Amino acid sequence: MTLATVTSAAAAVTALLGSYVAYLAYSGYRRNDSETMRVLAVGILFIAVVPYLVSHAAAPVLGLSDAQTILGVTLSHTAGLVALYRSFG
Amino acid sequence: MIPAPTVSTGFGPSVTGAFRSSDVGVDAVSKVAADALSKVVADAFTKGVADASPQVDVVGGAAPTAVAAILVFFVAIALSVVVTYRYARGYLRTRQRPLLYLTVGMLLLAPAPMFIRLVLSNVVLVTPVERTLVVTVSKLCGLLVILAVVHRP
Repeated sequence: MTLATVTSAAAAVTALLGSYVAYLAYSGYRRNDSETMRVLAVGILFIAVVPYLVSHAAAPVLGLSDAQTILGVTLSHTAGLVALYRSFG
Repeated sequence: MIPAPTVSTGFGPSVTGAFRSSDVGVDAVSKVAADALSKVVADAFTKGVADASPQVDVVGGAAPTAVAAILVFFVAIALSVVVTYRYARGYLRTRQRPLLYLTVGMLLLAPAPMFIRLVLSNVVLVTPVERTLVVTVSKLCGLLVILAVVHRP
């Protein structure tokens, strides 16, 4: 198994784990009506899951350039961080 | 004496290098975009900022996209530091253990990978794949720590 394969697998696992954590946080919000958990779910989704979808799904399907892909990924990071930042009021 | 090449080699590689180990599987901001960006900077230095843009050959609108990506990247870095800092402040104020885990998790998930990317991309000893692996492992660890907070059996 090459290092590239390990890296790809780790990226996929990170996205899957991110989805799971976001789902758990969202469940926590539904159960306890916790605003912190709702924002955490959104933040993790945009930091750990959406970037993976942009680079591994949107980029090949839409034929995005490297610069466009990276812009999409960093915009997603920023959106997630803005959501988390705003939660502090 | 010749400012343009100095700027190109100094600015271009370090900026593109910041993205080289990106977890997106993209090895770099496209070479074309990077070159265009270097030209923007080089022209800005040689001809003055006002005259710079008409001198640049932009291929497929890549240069504005690359510049936007770089700007947004630095905004994201700043935000990640602020968010992590506020989690840390929250923990120090309340001394609640879950907030400590959230702080550590957020640190490993957002600012650490970005700074690792920024620093390791300028170290020749590390290959792009190795950098991506380190960044991904940091994110994975961050998510595991946050999982410990949100997981309620």
